[in-house]
Amino acid sequence: MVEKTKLDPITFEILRHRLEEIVAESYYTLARVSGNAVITEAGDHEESIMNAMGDTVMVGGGIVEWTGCLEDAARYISQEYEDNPGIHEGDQFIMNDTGIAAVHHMDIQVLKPVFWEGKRVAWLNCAGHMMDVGGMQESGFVFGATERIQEGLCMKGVKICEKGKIRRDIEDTLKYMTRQPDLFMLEIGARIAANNAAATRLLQTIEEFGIDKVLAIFEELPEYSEKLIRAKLRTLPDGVFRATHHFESIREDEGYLTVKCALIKEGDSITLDFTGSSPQSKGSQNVALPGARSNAECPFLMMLGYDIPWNYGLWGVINWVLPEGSIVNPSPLAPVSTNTPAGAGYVMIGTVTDCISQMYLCSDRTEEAYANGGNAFHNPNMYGTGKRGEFFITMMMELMICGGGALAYRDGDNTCSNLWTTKPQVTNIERAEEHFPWLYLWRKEAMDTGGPGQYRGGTGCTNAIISYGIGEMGVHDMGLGMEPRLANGLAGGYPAPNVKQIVYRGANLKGMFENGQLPRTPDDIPGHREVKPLLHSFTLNPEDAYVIYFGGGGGYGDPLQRDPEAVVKDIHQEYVSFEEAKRTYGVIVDPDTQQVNWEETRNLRQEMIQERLTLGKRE
Amino acid sequence: MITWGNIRIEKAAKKGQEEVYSCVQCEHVLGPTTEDWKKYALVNKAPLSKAQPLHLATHSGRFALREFYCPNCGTMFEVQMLATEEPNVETFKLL
Amino acid sequence: MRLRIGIDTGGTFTDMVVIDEHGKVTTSKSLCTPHDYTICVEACLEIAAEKLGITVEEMLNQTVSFAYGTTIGTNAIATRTGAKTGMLTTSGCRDVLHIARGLTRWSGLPESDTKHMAATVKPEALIPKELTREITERIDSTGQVVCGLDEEEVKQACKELVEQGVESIAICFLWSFRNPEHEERAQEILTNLYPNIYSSTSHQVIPLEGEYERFITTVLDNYVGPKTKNYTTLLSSHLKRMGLKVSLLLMQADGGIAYADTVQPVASVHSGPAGGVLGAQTIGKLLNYKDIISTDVGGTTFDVSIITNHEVTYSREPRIEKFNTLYPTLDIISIGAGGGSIVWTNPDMKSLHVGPQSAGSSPGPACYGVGGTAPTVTDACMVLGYLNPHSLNGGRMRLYKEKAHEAFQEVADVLGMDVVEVAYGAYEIITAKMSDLIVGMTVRKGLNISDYILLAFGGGGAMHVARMGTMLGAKKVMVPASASVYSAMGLATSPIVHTYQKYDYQMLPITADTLNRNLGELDRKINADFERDGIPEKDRQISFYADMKYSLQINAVTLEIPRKKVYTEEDAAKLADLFDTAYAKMYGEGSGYPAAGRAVVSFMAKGKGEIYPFKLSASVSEHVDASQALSGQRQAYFKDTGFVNTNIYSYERLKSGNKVEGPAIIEAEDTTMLIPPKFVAEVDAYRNVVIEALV
Repeated sequence: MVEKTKLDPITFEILRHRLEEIVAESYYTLARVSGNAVITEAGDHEESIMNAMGDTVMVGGGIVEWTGCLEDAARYISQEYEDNPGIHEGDQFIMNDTGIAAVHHMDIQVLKPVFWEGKRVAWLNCAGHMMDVGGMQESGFVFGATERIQEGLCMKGVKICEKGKIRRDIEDTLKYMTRQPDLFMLEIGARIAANNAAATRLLQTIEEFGIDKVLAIFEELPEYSEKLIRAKLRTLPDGVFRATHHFESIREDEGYLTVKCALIKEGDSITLDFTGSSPQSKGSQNVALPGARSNAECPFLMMLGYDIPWNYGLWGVINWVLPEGSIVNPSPLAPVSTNTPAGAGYVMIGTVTDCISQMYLCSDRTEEAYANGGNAFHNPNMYGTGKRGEFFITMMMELMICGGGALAYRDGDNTCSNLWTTKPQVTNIERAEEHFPWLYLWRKEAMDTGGPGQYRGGTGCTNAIISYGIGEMGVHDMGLGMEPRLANGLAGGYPAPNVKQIVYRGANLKGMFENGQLPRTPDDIPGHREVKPLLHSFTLNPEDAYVIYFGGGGGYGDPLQRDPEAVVKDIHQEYVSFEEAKRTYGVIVDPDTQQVNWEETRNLRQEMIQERLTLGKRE
Repeated sequence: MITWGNIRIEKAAKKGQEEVYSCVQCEHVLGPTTEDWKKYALVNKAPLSKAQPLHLATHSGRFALREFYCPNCGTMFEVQMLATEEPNVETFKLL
Repeated sequence: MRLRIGIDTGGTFTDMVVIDEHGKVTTSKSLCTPHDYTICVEACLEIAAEKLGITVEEMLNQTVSFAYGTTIGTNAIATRTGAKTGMLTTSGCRDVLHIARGLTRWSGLPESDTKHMAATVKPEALIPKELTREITERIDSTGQVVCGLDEEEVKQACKELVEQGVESIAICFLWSFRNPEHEERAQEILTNLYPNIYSSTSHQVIPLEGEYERFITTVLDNYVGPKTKNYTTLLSSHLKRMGLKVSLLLMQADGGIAYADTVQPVASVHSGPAGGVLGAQTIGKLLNYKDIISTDVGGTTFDVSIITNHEVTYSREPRIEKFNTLYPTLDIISIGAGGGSIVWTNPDMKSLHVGPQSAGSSPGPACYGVGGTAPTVTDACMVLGYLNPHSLNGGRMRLYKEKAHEAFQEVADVLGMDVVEVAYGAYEIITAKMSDLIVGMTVRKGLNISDYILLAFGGGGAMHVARMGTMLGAKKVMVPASASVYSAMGLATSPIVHTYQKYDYQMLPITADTLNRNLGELDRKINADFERDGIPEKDRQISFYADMKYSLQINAVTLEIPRKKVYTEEDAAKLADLFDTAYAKMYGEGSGYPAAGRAVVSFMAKGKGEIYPFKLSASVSEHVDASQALSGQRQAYFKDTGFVNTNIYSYERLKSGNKVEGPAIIEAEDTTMLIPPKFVAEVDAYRNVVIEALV
């Protein structure tokens, strides 16, 4: 028996930092090489280092929602393909099977085994969203799917690289099965490059410190993370914290769907129990088990694990209850493509965020709690003939800049939040117009879209575009929260308002432009007004205009306790209207002086309290 | 002493006393912590159009905003969007 | 005698260098006077003139170039005391600064901080919505006018903003870099109505795509513009009265200098750190090191920049605070690691960490004895015997060794290790973090570290640089004679730099005409600038670049295009190969996808004009023996030896040519240099200390 190497605290810290750098290397390489705006501008990717068996040792902070899936992929390949087709030096594998390791089929992972002296010592995974994976519908989001097999390309860990070279047969197959073959292969190349960059630095590290020490950090780092999370859990109150979120089903016959979450925290143990969630849906908003866990881990990492290295030791402490046959653990045949962002996967993130916030609110660390934000949004996937005559498909990225939820001591941040990622950003208007055939009328912060509260939820945005190319443009909208209000508030704060999308048929704005007029609000736009439902496909003609309201963040605390001066400041910055100031905050602002009318405000707030005491009933 | 928003959880001062919820604003005692505090609060089911601009609101009636108030001072403890008829959700229960 | 003067205002001191035509260098230094910087400038001038034995007037009379680095703009932004600024923008774009692409919440934060969502806050926009006016006008991505400019609206908006008390107005329209007509006309209207209101337009400040970055850059220009202009005008007239015959030159963030009246105010923001890089570049030119990694260990941060083939690199994502900008800025990467970085442990885990929290200068390291009790990197260096146990800064600052020991005792007890082991561990950890940063920066640029010399500026760097060199596999490291003086010397010796960019997105193959038209235009602009500057053609050096990418990829590679008067179709055809090679070098073979097509995004021209060639006088000496500088011995700790008796040398008494074998410590007024065992240090002709491993 060889004695196990135990690292001294100095080598441990140096190697821990080195692993962070190796993952960062991979992150930057993908971001720089990729040609997909969802990756380069929305950060929809993530990279990790895993041990030889596929357990995550270190993961970067990209799209946090997929963290768990990365190791599911490496574990699967390690277990299934060791003998046939074999795992060798110079190989890389492609994986996007939602039943094994992906949130939806668009999330394509490429995995590289790393060898030292002929023996596999690690896996690297680089994963990112693709704009198309073939199947029934452009974009990979398949609204009409009733079976998973309709949702396009599904690779179960196929060897795409052999002896360092991309296999021609696989490349040709992939290109045949997807709608943007060139972009698809560019993205695969980017992942391969990212893995190679990380592998080079990992091998240098092994050379520098010796394989024993590197294998030791692979083992000790997850132990370290587990100890830290358990220690943190012990400082938080024991209890059961619950959230119920309802959202529209893509299937009209199902009405609405529900995710229920209970977080049970006792000592240093934590259970996430989704009992009571809807039974499996007939439509594509189900989330398969790997994606369900991975989504639910997202707020766990951001809210509880932000100061702990991210690896299986950290999330391994979670006990799961995901009822079989439910919307969060459906049969292997059930369609799942829209679970993120417009289905059960994304909604799970919101419920777990709520539960963790409730736990923090009961602790002495209330500053860590925040209301939900960005749970409701539209995410149009646009496709058609591009500006240079090519087929294009892209996402409108404004869902990345929803309003953030309010905190227990301050307002939520305006137009900069999304549940998936710690680093959201939206494409410039000019970048979008350079590459895609539309013209923006506006992109603004939308008044009154932050959930009211003592601390206001962050404001969402609104935009408007016209088609500005050679022909018509197709739209597959992904969205949530047109009827239910999903970004709910905390401790007396209201949920953020609903979202909406409106098409103005025959607006024919080009005529207006020629007369020197540019619409600045929806009221300025002529034409026949059509409110479009969520998860809906439609065509945008050259003479149409398209207006969207994206989601805000939930509020915190009773809005009648909001400082009236803060409401006035919000009016000046057009975050809140005079009407809502009065109707929801009970604040009367003198239209001439633009200052608080204190007496009328006091009276109105008193009246509103009286109204509550009259309307409110004991159950 | 633990507070959650405007609700305080008061531990029993003496043996034989109950642990109770009370209102942070008016100190009104809501009731023992053996039950969900929502049982002691006033509840109002408001339409979804409340507290948002009307041009964004929809009105199917499937859901409502369930508002919970202090029965003494009217402070709003919590508001949740739930299906109109479903039971309350016990947001937190300390063990 | 012709003189060149460089003056650099830093945070605490203003440094000055005068170089005469024989290369003799005279320096002076004075405390900064932030209420009126002309005072410290004057103080420096007086000291230098005295050293030269002439009057200030005589000195200024003989001066052929006078370059100045200012922090006025940087300070105005840091303290939010810039001009009250208004903005005219395209209809629908009122909130561009408020939305800020959603990224100001996390931009510029270390990765570990971005993960903590609850603690990240979006900063307020620089211009409130009340001072932003939307104007009816629209141009599309090809430069076509979609909707004409509503001139009445412009007049009305300007009137309202002026009534609201703005001092400057930024004019920021979509696609103005494609067609500047509307921005130009709006500015004309403004200037006719209100000639005293400062104003710049977005296409003029930086004609590149990306409205958020272009607008914020323009807004920053308007925000710092009035103050910067007022101050430089004041200083210019002041200097003229005192006898200066030439125009004032200003330091820019792109590492060049230019005549003050031609400098875009935003260009002077963050020019401070550029001074150091310029200093490194100067050393490189002087000693013929073409590839340099310049490091600076301060109290709280560790800054790195890379010079390749004598050329500085520009940042792909320049940033001022949390605002991503577009102005050409030197690429300086910074992490929270410095002398003040706190050493801490998690008692449950028995782990050891260093930083990123810093004790800064207040409460400061424990050994400073001014209230700090947490152990820091500086304290570690004290425990290890690297720092003089009694004083710093040539005796001006007392140190307390026992306090450093006390501070480490607690951490050592938790870990069950002894104080020295922990202190050395902390030293190793922070040095490894610094090395990791450098590796990342070089790898991402496809560079080979062993080609580079490592330079250590800043008070703390000289204690880490030899060890860092070993970790990195760098062959040579150097501690420059005096960091602050090199920055001023960089100013005194820098050429005038003009940079122009032009956006013209085109798929390859492009025609020779595209090259000739774009590069020709930039070339003419630069030459016109040099005409105005009075730089003769033979002293101009102009280089051309193109930003290129594979059409589907978002990020571009900057490729140098050999300069020609007229390009042929053959030249244009070569671009594809040049780009493929550069791309593969940067990102690895096979990472590009040529089948998707290649595109040119923008063109850039950079011109350098030599005002007056410079040289420095070197004192050559063959005296290897350094014993005259030996000032004592103390115990210092090294990895392989533990504590050993170590010679201490006084830098002031070392002579060019002296060699010092490790283990040794060289104490200078503002830095302490560590020569580990099996290393040797040599004082070069310019009194820099070069440290190399003994083979």
